[in-house]
Amino acid sequence: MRIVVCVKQILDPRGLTVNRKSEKVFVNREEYRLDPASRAALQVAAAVKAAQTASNGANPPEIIALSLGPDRVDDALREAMAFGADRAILLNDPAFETADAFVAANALAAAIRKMGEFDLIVVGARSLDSGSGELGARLAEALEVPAALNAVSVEATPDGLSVVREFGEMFIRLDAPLPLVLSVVPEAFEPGYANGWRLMDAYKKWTVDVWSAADLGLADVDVQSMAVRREDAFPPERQLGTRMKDARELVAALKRERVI
Amino acid sequence: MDFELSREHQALRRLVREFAEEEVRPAVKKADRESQPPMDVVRKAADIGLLGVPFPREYGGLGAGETGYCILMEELGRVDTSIATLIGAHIGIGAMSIYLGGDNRIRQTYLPDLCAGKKIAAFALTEPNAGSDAASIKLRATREGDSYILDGQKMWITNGPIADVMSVLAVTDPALGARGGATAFVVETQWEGFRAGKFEHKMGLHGSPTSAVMFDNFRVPQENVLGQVGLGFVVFMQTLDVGRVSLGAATLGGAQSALQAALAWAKVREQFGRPIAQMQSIQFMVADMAAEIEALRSLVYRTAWLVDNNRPFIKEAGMCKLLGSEIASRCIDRAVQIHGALGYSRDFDVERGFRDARIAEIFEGTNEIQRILIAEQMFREVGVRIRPYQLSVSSHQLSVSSYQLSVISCRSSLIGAQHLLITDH
Amino acid sequence: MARLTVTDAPHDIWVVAELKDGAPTPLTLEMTYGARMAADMMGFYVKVAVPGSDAPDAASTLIQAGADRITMIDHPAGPASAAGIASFSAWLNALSDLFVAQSPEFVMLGATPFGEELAARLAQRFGGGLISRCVSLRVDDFDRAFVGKRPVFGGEYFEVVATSGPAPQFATVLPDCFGPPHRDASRYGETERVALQLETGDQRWPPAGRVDFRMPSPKLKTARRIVSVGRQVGDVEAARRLALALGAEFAGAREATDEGYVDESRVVGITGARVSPELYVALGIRGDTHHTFGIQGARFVVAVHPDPDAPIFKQADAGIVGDPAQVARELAESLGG
Repeated sequence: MRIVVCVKQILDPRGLTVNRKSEKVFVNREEYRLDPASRAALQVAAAVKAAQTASNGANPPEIIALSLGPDRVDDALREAMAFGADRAILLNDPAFETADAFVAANALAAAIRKMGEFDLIVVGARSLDSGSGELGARLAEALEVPAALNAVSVEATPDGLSVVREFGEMFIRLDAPLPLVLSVVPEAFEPGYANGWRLMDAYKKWTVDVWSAADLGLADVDVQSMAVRREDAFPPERQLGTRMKDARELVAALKRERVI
Repeated sequence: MDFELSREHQALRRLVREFAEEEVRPAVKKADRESQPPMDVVRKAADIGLLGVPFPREYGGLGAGETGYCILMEELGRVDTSIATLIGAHIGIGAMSIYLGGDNRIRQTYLPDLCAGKKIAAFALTEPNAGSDAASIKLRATREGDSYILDGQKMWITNGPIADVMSVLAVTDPALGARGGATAFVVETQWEGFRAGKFEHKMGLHGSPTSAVMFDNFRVPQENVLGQVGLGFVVFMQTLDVGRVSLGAATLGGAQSALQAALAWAKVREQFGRPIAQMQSIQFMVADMAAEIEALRSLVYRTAWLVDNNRPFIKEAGMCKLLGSEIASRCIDRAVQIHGALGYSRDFDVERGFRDARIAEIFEGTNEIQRILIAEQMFREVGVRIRPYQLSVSSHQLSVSSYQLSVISCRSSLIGAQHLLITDH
Repeated sequence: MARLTVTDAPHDIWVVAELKDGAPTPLTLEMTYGARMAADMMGFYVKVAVPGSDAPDAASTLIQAGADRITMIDHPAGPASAAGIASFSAWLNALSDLFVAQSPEFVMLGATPFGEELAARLAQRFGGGLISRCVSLRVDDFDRAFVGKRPVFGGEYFEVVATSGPAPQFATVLPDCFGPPHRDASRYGETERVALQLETGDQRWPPAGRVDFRMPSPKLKTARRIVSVGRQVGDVEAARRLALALGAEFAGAREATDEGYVDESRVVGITGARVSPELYVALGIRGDTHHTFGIQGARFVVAVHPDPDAPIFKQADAGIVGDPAQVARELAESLGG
């Protein structure tokens, strides 16, 4: 069984300060981290592997961590190995520098196809930075397999996976056969830590394979971003000390601020 | 010169920092208030490999060397001195003495369980009448057939109440004294005749359990001698030498934490219409803290590098402990001052930091002893032999002619498999 | 990866509607109105695809909200029902076929579970752009592109994104993107119906079933919403009920532990947790430095306290001088809790 986990490295928001007045984002500490949703994806993959290994010890599943980005993403992939990935592959190419979700999906799908057969793709439902949440669905489309998105609970069954999906206010249970794309909601899964021994091995013994756009056979149209960021925009300056008359005025303000 | 930590060390720091923030920090206040060690946190640390950071992989450690271990101690010390002390005693002097002094069989017997956190280690040297004057220990180990019988007690033993495995220094030949008359043993506390005393009520470090330990007709098999019979002092002194480096790292973490608390408070606390960060007196305190911390950081990690690269490190280790403890004390004192009255309140972290910091100038060899050690090294370089009060001050003093020991540089490589010649049985 | 292309030169703006209890959702009406505004500028028609059925008045409601033509895609189980979810790909294919035939230039969907999955799959299928979760959206007539503003880092700030590429261009939209829709009873439009081919699509799973699921409680440090009490909260139960209504974590200032309102692990402030929620509601908290220290990272602070001089008001984005429990009750009520 092959499980591919697509992981993302993000700029750590704890190192940023947003100044609404000057409409600037200050990077106080440029630190990168493995997106929490990617961690949850790795944990789910490890749990599925453990369940499969328990029932079919002869052929334990292989977990491959896959990511896209510049050289520094190597650290995120090493951490992914510390979280249980058996192999790690980095898609690294100038062509991916300004990749949007479309390009990312194309590249990741091409890499997955290059690996051969797969049974399960796991991704985070929504990353902490851009949070568009598109990748799971896009990958499913590109790979022509079904998707179970926004999973809050995943169990291996003899025929595939039993997944509880968050669907707005509802939670629904689906029995999904493999192959499948699964996206996971990080808040639903207990956070864990990298395994220290695996972390040391990841840096000292194991390697991260690096593939370029040429290795993936991508056409020009596949690496052309279709949603391009023009600029940043900022919420209005905070008006600290503002008084409201009553609850009703408050509710209106909360809605305006998109807090509810 | 490359001052960057290796990538795996940087990754280790990230892991430990996250663990310290997410797991240790929430448990700190309760441990301090109830004087209970947070053993569930210790177990979680063990599960991810943190209880064997410096030891080679073949013994179940992480193989991250002294540098990795200093990173662990700094990050733990940043959050809580008690847990740093608990884990530090377990790894840095408990398990370390077994690693440095034990032959391969002893190491294989004990280290894997210690690295996995299945057992907790402790280090028993001090006695009621033998602190700095370590050579005057009285705990007696009498040969009887194929074992030794231990009688006596040790005091102020960190992890005393919770240890499963303990390294003990006992007198095997009172006539020889420390010079050839003391032997180190690794013992198991479940063996008959061992008793831990009550938890000591200390000024601080409430989450680190400390007690006296008593040996009453306590039988130890001869296979459990650490190193050579009669040369126990060497093992124990070497262990303390290397332990000082990581203690320096822990005090670095503590000092760092004091500085950060001071900065955060000075930013929000307003008096006379402005944040106190705008006041020069506060600024000068902060600047002094920051400069000392930076100097300490360079010292600690360079000394760790010396250890990992088989260079002499004894005097630098002493400096790490000496400066680290005093810098941490100064920093936490300033942090309390910056916090004003709130720095005196039990609810605030700096108050606990203040109580926890004081011991660092005392244990692991008092700062007076460190000064003697360093001076001794310095004067040796110009050809002056300083006669210490007693042998135990420096293992260099031991030159037991009937053994081919060159203890002078006390090399202990934690990454490679070789270490001291002392274990060539 | 064969891309789908539209048949004719792309034209018009489409909305994918969602129904609830037989009527278009408020978000759907909002999108229709937003599409109407764009259409009037670009010379488009507004066309609305309505997956679902058993909604006899939906078409006329949508026309009155600004639609020119409605395409009803019929099936007894709507796409957002437990049964419908299992046959998602049938809906996907129906809409995909519709768009191939009808050649929209722009398509708007709600940022809902159904809409988001649909939008991402359709965008990937057609090879066009998608802007997800817009808080504001317009059609740029010069570039002939969607230009949308969307939150990043959970809404700390926003990015403005423009789509490009082959048609259709897609966007998913959050509530209040366009403002309240207008209703024009005089408007008229056309309605057509197509049948859903349930057997199409590779995703044919056994019907999904609803389950009860409890998300684990987040720690205070990562909670998105917090209701926090102080000594002057009055009826602390009202505060608890508000927390429930808001889906917020319950916490307190240090003084709240003296009153027994919260346990030590739930204290916010210098002696407790530093929090950075999107919403922090301080009920009856005076707001001394040790507490405000803990809420520096909060995005929007609401404070209610009987004393107009309480320092908390200086830290609040919205302050009400009054009875915290009473305001909590009123707030909970307007939230439907």
